[in-house]
Amino acid sequence: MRVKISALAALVAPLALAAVYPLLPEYQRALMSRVLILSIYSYGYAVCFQMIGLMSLGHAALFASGMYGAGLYAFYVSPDPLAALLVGVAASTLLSILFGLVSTRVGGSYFMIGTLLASQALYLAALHFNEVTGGEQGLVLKKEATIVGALGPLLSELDARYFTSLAALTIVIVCVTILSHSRLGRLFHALRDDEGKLEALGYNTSALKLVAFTISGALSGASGALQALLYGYIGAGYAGILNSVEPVLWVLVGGPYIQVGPLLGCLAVNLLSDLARGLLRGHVLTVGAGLVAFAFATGRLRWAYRLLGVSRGRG
Amino acid sequence: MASPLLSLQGVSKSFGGVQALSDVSLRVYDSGVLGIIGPNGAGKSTLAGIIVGALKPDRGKVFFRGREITNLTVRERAALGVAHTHQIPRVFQSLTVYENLELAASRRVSRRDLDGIIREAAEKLGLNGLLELGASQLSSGQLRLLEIGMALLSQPLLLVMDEPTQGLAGLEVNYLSNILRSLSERLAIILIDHRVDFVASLSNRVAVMSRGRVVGLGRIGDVEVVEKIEAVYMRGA
Amino acid sequence: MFPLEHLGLALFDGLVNGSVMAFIALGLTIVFGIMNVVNLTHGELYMLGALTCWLLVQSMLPYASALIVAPLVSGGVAVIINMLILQRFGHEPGQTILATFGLLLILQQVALAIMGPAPRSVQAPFNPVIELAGFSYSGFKLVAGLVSISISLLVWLVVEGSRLGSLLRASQENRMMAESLGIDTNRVFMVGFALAGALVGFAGALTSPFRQIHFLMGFDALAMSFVVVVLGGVGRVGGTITAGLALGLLESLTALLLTPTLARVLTVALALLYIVARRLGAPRGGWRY
Repeated sequence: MRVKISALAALVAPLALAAVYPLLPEYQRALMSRVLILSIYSYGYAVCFQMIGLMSLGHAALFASGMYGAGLYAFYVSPDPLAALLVGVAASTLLSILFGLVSTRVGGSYFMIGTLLASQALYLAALHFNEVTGGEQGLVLKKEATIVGALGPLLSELDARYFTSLAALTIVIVCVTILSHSRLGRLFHALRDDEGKLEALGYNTSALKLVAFTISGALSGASGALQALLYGYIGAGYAGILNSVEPVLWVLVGGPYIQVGPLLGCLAVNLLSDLARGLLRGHVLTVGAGLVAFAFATGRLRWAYRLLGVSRGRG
Repeated sequence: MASPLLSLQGVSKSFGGVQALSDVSLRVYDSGVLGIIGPNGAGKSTLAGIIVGALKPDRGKVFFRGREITNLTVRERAALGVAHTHQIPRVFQSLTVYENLELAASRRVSRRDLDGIIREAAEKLGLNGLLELGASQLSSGQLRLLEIGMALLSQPLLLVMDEPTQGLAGLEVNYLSNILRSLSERLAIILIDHRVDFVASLSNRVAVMSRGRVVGLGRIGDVEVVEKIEAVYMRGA
Repeated sequence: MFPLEHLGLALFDGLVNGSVMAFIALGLTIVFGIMNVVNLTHGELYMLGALTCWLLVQSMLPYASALIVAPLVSGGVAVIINMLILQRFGHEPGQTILATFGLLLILQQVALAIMGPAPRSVQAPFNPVIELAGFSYSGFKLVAGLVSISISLLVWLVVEGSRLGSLLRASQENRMMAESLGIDTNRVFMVGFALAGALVGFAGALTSPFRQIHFLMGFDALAMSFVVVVLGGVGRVGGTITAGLALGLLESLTALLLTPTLARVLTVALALLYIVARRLGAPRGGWRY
């Protein structure tokens, strides 16, 4: 019953987001478009973190690989946003298979350290090849190379950003909802509950983890690619540690239902941090304080408790 | 006699200098229950770990259906037909009872027959009213039955049960006895438990363990075995 | 063209940098390696040491004062983090990582508020140029390297040879058992955090005169410390020192051919390969039984 309600909510959410758009003032429209793109990243992170219980500390690298794949293609090869999007998703899929082959073979805290190191290596590489990537300063894409540019004749810049991200997000929500109710989704949940038991039933858990990690990386990369193609900017900042930290908080704040949680969490954190701009020193402090607060709250939230492997002391 | 289903040859295992098993040899045949009894620290759980593949022996070999499996993982042994249940039942907490059983069965059973086989197993174990319940809502006795059901649905040739009566009340133990008795006609069971009466009532043969060694092995009625049990439990020898 | 005349300098500089790397990683060896707490603020404690040094020198106090105050600041912050936050949930891995991840961001922002976004530097108190066989070298950096390696060796002796090491290990391995033996595990953890924080704070002040001080400098220190700790064998102080020296050499030798950034990318990639090749943390033949 609860499953059906959350699946319904997943279908209602995109409609609500479309309906609310005309009511929003311009600033909020722009803000919401950013959040919708990031929500795709949030779903991507949730596939790894919430479904199979692996906490990656390096997803920024996967987000950034999608961004660089799409952005560099659009900048250097051809100003074709659709092809660029595909290149971005392909790049992040490949990288996450590589990351996944490496990191799903090690256990516990080594998974986190491994993903953290891998993303640091990618970040440094992006800085090193700054003649190509633009480094910390980044590159600005020509307008015709972006989705906004391609939709220019039809939609205003603001509308194009909002509705492209909403359309992409809707596809992602539907896919994740189907995944979570599928046999593969049940296997993922079983893997999170008790990896050893699943292995004892004859399942290849390393392969399952790799599949989940790859799906997760592909979605994260899609988010990065959209970001590049909707805002026409790519920069090494997106490969930095902050971008790896944030989705952890979104997913935790979003709550136990993966069909809507990643969206709700991403919305809540980003809107809150926008409100808190004047109060705290910006976004970063909000995220930091949120994580510390959540570490305390975990003791009271059964699902988060389970997610973090607290009861089993998984390190 | 026919060739054994499982045989252990001179298996030893130590943990940081403590000898948990020394030179254990055992044979298990196609059906019936081999009971393993002994006080805490006798090496019973280590033995279970060696058989299912969670632990690797320092010395000695393990054979299953004539093939050496000493270096196979838990997963590889599961594929050959070795299933096990744990001291504290391990099931998937976020899935329903039905989904738990489905995961266990679906590697062996075609999709068409799956539902029927799951319902049949649930019926046999008395879980049929609970199929749609989340596993986290079960009592400890029901969890025990669910774990056994999962082990059975993976269609094993050998079932290793580590302390299955732990946490069960008297009536539940009787219920479990009946289930195991009917199972033992079809597959081999290695039953590890500290309740001597429970093991004795079910087992065709009993191995008595003490300090990492098998000190007695035979049918439960044998005078020698009874003496060993007494010796191990009463005098701690 | 291989610049052979730079080889001597590279080897020497590699050893000095390696000593410093090992020294920075030392605190993480204690907290993560021995106590098994994934403390992601380790790099920020290093940054706080450097920041303290800059603040003191900025207010006209002698550099030497930083070597006393910085360990107190970083050690103090580590103790506060442990007492107010990590200890509250018994250092459970999941919660610890969340909290220290958040604290990492908060400490960065505090540093940003204090020193602004621009990189800062501190003048070395003395810096004679030392002529060595075929090349000259910064006297201060040489001294810093020697101090690093000396303190590291000292800590190694203390942790391996005294009761402290076994107390730390015992408290981590089985808290209940340790408590029942009359060990106050909370106090043991406190001492571990204080020691780790003080060491890395000292390292922050020590390296300030030859490294840029920046509010984001901590994360790189954290990543490199993880590399050093893991390569050296988790929980082994001696291994940490060896791994630090080896990595220092490796980095400065590769930097002869490539740029320093690329050398670091390679070092990190190498560490990753090692972690996978050893399948660290993954028990053979299944996870739990």
